[in-house]
Amino acid sequence: MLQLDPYAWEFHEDPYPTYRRLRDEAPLYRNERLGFWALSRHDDVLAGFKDTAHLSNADGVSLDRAVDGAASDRASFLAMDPPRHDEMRGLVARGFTPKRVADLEPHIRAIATAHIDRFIERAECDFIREFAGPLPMDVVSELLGVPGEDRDRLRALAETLLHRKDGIAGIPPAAADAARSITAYFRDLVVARRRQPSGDLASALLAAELDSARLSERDVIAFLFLMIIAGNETTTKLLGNALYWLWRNPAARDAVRADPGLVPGWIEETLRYDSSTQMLARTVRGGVAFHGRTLPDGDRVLLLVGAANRDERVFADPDRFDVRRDASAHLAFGRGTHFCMGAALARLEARVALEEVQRRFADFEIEPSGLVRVHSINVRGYAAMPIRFTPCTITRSIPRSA
Amino acid sequence: MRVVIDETLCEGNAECMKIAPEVFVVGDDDRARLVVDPPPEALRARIEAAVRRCPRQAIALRE
Repeated sequence: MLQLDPYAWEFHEDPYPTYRRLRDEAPLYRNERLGFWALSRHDDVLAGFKDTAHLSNADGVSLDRAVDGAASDRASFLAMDPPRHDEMRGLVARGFTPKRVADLEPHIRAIATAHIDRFIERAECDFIREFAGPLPMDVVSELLGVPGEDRDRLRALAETLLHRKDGIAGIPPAAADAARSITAYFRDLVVARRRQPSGDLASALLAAELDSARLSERDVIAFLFLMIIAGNETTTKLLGNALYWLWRNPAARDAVRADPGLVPGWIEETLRYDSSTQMLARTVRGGVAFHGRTLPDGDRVLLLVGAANRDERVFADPDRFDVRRDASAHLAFGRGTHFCMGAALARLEARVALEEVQRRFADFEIEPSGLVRVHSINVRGYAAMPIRFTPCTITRSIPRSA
Repeated sequence: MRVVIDETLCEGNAECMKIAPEVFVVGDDDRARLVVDPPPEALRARIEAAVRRCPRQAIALRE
């Protein structure tokens, strides 16, 4: 029987055959046990993203319920609808436009270089724990104002927060504790910045006004919480998935090695082929029709981004990893009101990080027995990825940014 | 053909400018605006593509 269980580890191993069956056999799928609908075709997922009037974010974007005592995703602008969403997002969105984040390129390259320098002579590393994990964490931490010594702990908490037990619906106690610990951490940070402001986003948010009122402490903590999860974990997964699929596809690997100008194509194809964000939940407001059925008020709907990105109705030969294809119709960053605010930053981080990988250890090999998969209901990628490589002695030129 | 850009939604992703540079330009304020208004009918297909691809769905086409 066709079943979609977002908590099943077997499903996490390879969700794509399930997605294909859903698109073909049950484009409007119903899971009675877990109480949700799921949309898997590209045009339905796209319509779902665009219809914010009938598909609300106010109950969060995960199937799981909110954690008591945590400023998790229920309190940030990701869990708001227009117009309040637009006002809150507007406070920070101007800092994340492609033009603004482009200024960060030299800084991101310095961070990437520093991490690679630490392991390059060993000719092996754990790509996630020593590079793909810490790099986005450093970038977002410096924007937010998180000191260097706290980052490993916060990253570990973020990983624990996302972890789900095999086949068990709901949030494990350790994940709920992690959510509360991250909240407590940011509460302390907010108190410290209120006492002594600095040039970081935490301080800027404390000073920001909306409708001539300061943001509440809860709003600021929720902002920071969202940034550390959405702005960090997903980029780590993107880098790991990019390396994995290049390794699995020798033709793509040869192509990128011969032409580092293909790095952006490699990134976009990874976003399409194996997106970090696999599914996002919405809640029906009033009622909304799909495939001849009206879904009632209050029902939860999963938008299966990972399934939409493999839809053969939009992408030719969708199960082929092709760094030269036009992948631009992918929905990895959503579309419309909630389009990923950090998309330009994620693309920049990924381009710089993967250019440096190509420049310094293009001949890497992954040790498959050491791969550890993340088991989350939203995010797809690896927690550990041991690799071996020959350090490059020839310094190849860095391609100019487009 | 009338093309309307919602300035409050636009976040300067510049996808429209990549698809139809004869029609859209992103200024120093990181907001898209029209190069020619109204744009020529001959560019309708690419304008429609820009409307579809706009990350924040900030562009509308009014007949």
